[in-house]
Amino acid sequence: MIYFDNPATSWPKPPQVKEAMNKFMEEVGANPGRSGHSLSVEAARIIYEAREALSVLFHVKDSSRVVFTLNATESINLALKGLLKYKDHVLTSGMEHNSVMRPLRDLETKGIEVTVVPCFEDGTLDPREMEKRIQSNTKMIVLNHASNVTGTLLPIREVGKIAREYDLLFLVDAAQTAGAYSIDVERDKIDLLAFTGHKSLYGPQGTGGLVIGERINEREMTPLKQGGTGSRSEFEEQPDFLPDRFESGTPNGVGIAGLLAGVQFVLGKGVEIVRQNEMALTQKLIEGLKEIHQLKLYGPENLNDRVATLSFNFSHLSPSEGAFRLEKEFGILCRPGLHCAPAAHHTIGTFPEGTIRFGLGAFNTEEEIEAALQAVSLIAQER
Amino acid sequence: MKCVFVFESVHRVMKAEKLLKGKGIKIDLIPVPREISSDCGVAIELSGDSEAEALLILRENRISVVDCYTRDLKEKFEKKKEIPRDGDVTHEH
Repeated sequence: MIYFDNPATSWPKPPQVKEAMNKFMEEVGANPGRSGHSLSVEAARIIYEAREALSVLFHVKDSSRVVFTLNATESINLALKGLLKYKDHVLTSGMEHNSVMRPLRDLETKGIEVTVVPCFEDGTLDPREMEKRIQSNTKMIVLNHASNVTGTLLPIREVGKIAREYDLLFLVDAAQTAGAYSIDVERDKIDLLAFTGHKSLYGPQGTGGLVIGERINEREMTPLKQGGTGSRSEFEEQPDFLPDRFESGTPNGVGIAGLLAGVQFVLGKGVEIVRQNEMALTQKLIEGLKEIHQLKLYGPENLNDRVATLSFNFSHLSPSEGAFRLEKEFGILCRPGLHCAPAAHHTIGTFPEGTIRFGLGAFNTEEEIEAALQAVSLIAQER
Repeated sequence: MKCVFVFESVHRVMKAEKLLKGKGIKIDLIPVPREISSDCGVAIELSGDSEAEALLILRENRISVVDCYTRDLKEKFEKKKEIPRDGDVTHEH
């Protein structure tokens, strides 16, 4: 079996992730920080260490500003709904996932103005197009770091600079890049970084987070939910400090234990090394696919403009038929269709049919790329 | 006489624990004593005579102690009035 659905959820996971989760279930297992007993404290320590490890990865100075959520979607919802107010204007790109577009479309019905800045057909964005559309009531720019459809990297550094210049908040959706591409919230001028645990951080599903930058006053940001935090229990009002303000209810302790091991795996290898390896395979894959004439490939030409995800279509098969045959006949697991990103498919001209997506991870091999190229070639040539 | 530090959040307790243990200060994590607060969280109890050193380490790392109590031999808690509340460093920035 060849697994190319890493942009959805990475698989397999490093063995230490499973071991950490098993250890948590067998030896820790208690409610983190809610009680003073040793198991509760140990659970709290693991969550603290996970925040610290993520702070190292993203260059966050104060780890209490890393708030755990279920996934990038929850993080994006928290950032948008927690900060945008009636009559505010928000800018985003034409390459966004529905995790951004759906909350924005919902906010639009509540009097928040949304502008979608068009991208080029390969998914790239000219930052000046973003700057041109800034208005007097613009409060925030929301930008995908890399497209989950084409793997196109969006210019977050340039847009971050623009956002800072105009004193706008900058929210980055790092679902496809956290762990796979260097991110420094200081250098890149990111005020809000939404990440997920189960993709390139190699943690389990149900883990993710939001880094809330120091330019944001957490007291003025509304939580998505209120509830027990293990702190200030004598009060019925929600705490106003981080991370408790945004972390009501028992967290996914076992998941976060796995996420910690995943982040340590990435830090141990080094993000740059992970990227080099993935891009070497991506290059081989793209070069091979280009030689197959019956295919249409999407995304930027330059490897520096993308992550290890790509989209293509057979000329004679629908994406779903193609993906079905790739699995049935060759054991290749990939994802066809719209990838929860209709906006991106509009931009690259593949709406509503979609594309076939191959997304690589840290555990793919050269042999798998060769086998996949042969499989795609065989299906394409039968026409 | 033992000294008990109470913090704003579990996160800070964890950070304080790691820092203080790293500096060789003997501490215990204890449930926040009922006499201090009805809170369900954890507090740090210093077992030796290292209160001043501990407070310095915490202040250097911008971790504010919300309250500091002493526990006498009869297990009575008394809030120490002279302990600074770090009014200027109530939030970690």
